[in-house]
Amino acid sequence: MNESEFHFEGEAEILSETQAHVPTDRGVIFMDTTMTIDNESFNNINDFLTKLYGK
Amino acid sequence: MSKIKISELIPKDAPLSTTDLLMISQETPDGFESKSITGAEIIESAQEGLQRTLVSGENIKTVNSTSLLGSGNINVQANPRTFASVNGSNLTGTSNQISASVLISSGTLVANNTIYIKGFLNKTAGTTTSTPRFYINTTNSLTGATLLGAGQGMGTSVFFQRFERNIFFDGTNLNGFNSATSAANDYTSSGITLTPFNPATNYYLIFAVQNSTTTPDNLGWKRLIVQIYD
Repeated sequence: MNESEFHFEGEAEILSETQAHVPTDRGVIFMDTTMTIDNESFNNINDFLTKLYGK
Repeated sequence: MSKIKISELIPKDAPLSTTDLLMISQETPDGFESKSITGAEIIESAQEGLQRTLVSGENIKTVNSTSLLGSGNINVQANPRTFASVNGSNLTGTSNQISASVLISSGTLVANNTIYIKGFLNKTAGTTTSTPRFYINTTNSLTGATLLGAGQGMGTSVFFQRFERNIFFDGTNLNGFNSATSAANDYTSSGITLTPFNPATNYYLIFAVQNSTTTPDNLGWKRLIVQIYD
């Protein structure tokens, strides 16, 4: 496995409108809407997580 | 008074002492003029600007009552060593925010070291729950940080919390109290959280707070002391 490769494990915990804890095989990672996915920006964490989990 | 050349004086044949008196007389038209100097004055003049003989406990301090005089080494206890003592900010607002952070420079941690964190949390106002968490990241930012643990949630009139954690480094991972369990300390059993750690990289220990409502809830990390045990 590549060092920068993470595997999701379990449901994300939403902390606020823009922040969440995402469980992975390398620990629980703090993510927020300052992050982009495939250069796509998000206004709220729900949209971010939907894209992240590919739902 | 008989006249004797200085070169013809009889040697004392003993070390100069403070009570010695050296007297020289010079012939003058009126007779003789005498001048003298004591042994103490000669010794003081000769030692001017020089370090006095060191006397333990008198003009050189001791370390834990051990004299520093002589050759050899004195082992100074350096375990644990404190590498940070910081005071975080009390923050309002409902987002998870950084109150304090501590840099662990590359090379600081080696296998079998233990990081010991102690500090306390306080807030001065508010009635809803505030949550303290701490993370690790290669930058001083929460974004992308890995959760190491959470303190007890502080609600209603809970304005103070003592916080402690021990984190063992096995050479590959940080081994700590279950990060999903909110607790003030790790003096009990729990699951283990393994967090990958590369000792050749700079890391930040990040201490964050989140309030469930905005002002006046104002949680903050205070006097965080981070130590390493060899």
